[in-house]
Amino acid sequence: MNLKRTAMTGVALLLIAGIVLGGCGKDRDTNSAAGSSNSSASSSTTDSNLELSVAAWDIQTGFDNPNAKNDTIYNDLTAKFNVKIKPVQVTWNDWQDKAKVWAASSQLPDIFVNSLATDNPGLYTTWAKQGVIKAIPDDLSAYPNLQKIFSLPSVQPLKVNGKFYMIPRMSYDDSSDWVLDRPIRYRKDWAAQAGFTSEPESFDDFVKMTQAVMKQHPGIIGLSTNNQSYLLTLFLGSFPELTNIKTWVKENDKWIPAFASEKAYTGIEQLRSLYTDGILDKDIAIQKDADGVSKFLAGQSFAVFGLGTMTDDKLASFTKANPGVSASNAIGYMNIWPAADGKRYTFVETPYWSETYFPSSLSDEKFERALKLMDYLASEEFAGLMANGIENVDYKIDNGKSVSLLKDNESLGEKYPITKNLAFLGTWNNGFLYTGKQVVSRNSEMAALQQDQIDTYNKFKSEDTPTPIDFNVFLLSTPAKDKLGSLKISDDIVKVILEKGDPITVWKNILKGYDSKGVQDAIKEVNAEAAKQGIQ
Amino acid sequence: MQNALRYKNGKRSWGAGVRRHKYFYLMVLPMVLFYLIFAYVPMYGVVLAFKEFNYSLGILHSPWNQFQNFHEVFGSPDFKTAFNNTLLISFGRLLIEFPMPILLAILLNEMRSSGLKRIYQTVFTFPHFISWVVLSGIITSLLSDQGVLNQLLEAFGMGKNTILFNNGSFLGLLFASNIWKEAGWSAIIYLAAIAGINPELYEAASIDGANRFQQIKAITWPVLRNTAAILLILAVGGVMNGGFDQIFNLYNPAVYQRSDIIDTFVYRSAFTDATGFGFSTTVGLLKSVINFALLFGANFIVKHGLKEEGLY
Repeated sequence: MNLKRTAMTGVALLLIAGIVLGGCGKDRDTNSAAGSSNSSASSSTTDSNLELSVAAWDIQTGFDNPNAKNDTIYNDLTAKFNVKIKPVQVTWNDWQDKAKVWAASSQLPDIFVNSLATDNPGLYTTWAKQGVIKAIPDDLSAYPNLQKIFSLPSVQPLKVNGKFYMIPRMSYDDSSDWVLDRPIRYRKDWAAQAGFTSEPESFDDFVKMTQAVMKQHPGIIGLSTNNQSYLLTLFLGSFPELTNIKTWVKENDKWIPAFASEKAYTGIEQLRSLYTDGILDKDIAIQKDADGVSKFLAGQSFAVFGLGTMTDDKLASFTKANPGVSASNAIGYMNIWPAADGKRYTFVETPYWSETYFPSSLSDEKFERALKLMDYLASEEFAGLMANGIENVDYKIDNGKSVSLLKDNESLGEKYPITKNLAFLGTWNNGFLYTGKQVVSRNSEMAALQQDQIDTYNKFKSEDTPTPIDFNVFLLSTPAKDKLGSLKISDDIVKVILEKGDPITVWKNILKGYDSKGVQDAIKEVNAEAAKQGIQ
Repeated sequence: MQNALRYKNGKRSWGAGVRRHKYFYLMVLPMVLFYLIFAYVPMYGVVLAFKEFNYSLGILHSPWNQFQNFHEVFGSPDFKTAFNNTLLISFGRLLIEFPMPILLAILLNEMRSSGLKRIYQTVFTFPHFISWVVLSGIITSLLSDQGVLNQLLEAFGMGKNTILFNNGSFLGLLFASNIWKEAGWSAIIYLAAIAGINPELYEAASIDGANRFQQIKAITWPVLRNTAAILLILAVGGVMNGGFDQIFNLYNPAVYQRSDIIDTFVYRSAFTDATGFGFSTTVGLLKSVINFALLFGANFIVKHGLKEEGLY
């Protein structure tokens, strides 16, 4: 009798577990395995109002802003496409993790940001093949701005079985436009006081200049960095390929990851010597993102790897910490010293570094509307709106220059809070400043800094050389190469800097460890695949 | 007749017991449901350790993969490092951290002034409520190159500390900071056990000429021993949990080699590195199995070796 009762109790518990389990699950559409779309752009209409859930960085914050309902740009956008945006919050800390959890539980939003294609090509291919993400239609004639993006040579390696499964979020039009994205900023006023009025011509010159400044300003850090990966900026002066950690180089007719090249040794030794000479920030191992920039703005460091663009907030921080000092006179861009071949190199990256995705479960009607929305967000018209606001309301064109009409207490971010965070769904619009169309700041100090940025960009673009990177190999996906993303190369470089033994010996030991994590397998696979694809 | 129905073989029937104590059962129901929903139901995900996860097919329909995940885990040098570090840190915690709350409880109990005792207890308990996110920020500010400690050391003409960047001292920091944060909180259960001791025992011992140390040895410790044994079993059962929150918030590239534990490794492999969840589930499953075996082993030793009451 007891046995029977126990058995019945067990069955009852199993039933409850089953019900709960069933409730937690969600029906999966196994018919959408290919994830392809049959949508036809030509048959599109915007008659019915559609709700699109969108996961983008900090999107909820904009919707929660008290001024959200007065965001004219957003209101016009939703009216134009007859859509309602349902914000799905992701932050810079969880945007990649959340997508994986959503994908595993079939809860992906209709539109979501990620960087799979560039950072985790293995998972990108897996998701495409497993039908998690939707393929972009072949016929993009109804979406001219998207068509333009997908026709770029740098985007072609992102095809999986002949189809694209994402829209790259363009930062620039070309890979060589990243010239100021690994900048070296320095206090040119301090350098001048120490007797250095021209940029260093070599690493040794940089060390001498920094030590001279540190002598005059006891207690300051010689060089800080935006984050640990920005330490690689130093390689621009010796082995520029390694500035981008994902680069592969051809040596002795064999493709190898740049970090595995002996050419890395010079930069490794230089980083160690900067640390032992007391120039490099001693807290690099424990620093958080942007700590180095904060130290620079606070007048605590002479130079910094980072701080590409000055913003109003950063200018305010600098002015507060350096009263009476003109930021535009004090802060300069340092051109990297020439490498062994006599050329000064600039940072190079794919013109995109993140992408927009759509789940395969998205209906064709919603997909079509989402593509229309994305096409508009990638347009020049919207680029102007996101950077300058509405013409003749927020700015006007005067003598060919965009002049702000905003009042002193107004800012575009406060006026258009939803647009502020939603705008980057389409493009990063980084190159807009250099088109000369961006509104000139009414703050003369800020305007001078903006102009300095434009001038420096044009100077570096014309005088320096973009780092030679073969993007066909860079974006190649093979099983072993895809796993190299798990290597913590920046962390290991920090380790080499901090350890006491010979830096090259320490680095070689780390490389040996990498071999056991599949580097040699990746080299074999990449060379075989490159040969197969005819990549020279 | 009724009794004959309610009792069989001299035992009260289960249903009758439930009816009789229905309010107790009702009170325990939310916790049973909690564990059912959040601990037992999700356990079906463990099958991922034996499968190649397919996002479109889900956990239950993904294909089996012939123990491939286990091959990968055992072949991974990072797993070996994390496994060794977890053992080192966890046994270090058992050895160094576990006795501290007992010591603290005894010391607090020996304080003559009850007011001072309460103040100390509050002071020692408070850090438990500070999250590791906040505390790691405080520790970093104290111990960083430009931190308060280094400024003081420099003011006295001494060299700078590198506690955060040195593998050996970082381990010490892990133990010390965890004792500071948790010893007061963990001491509460021992203080509760001590509170149950009849004060007349101490009075009698005192009349018999026992000094305070002898009183601790003969009266306090025998009462605490069983509580300590049960908490030791639980601590051994959780030995593969090296303290994710603390380490994740405090570690840095300079000390990864000695501080990367299984939990931080699982987090990284699940979200940062891998293409599926199979690998990290396998690591998590292995960890749980080891914990399970250790729990049973510790319980057996306590019951049969130390002759104390075990957990069951």
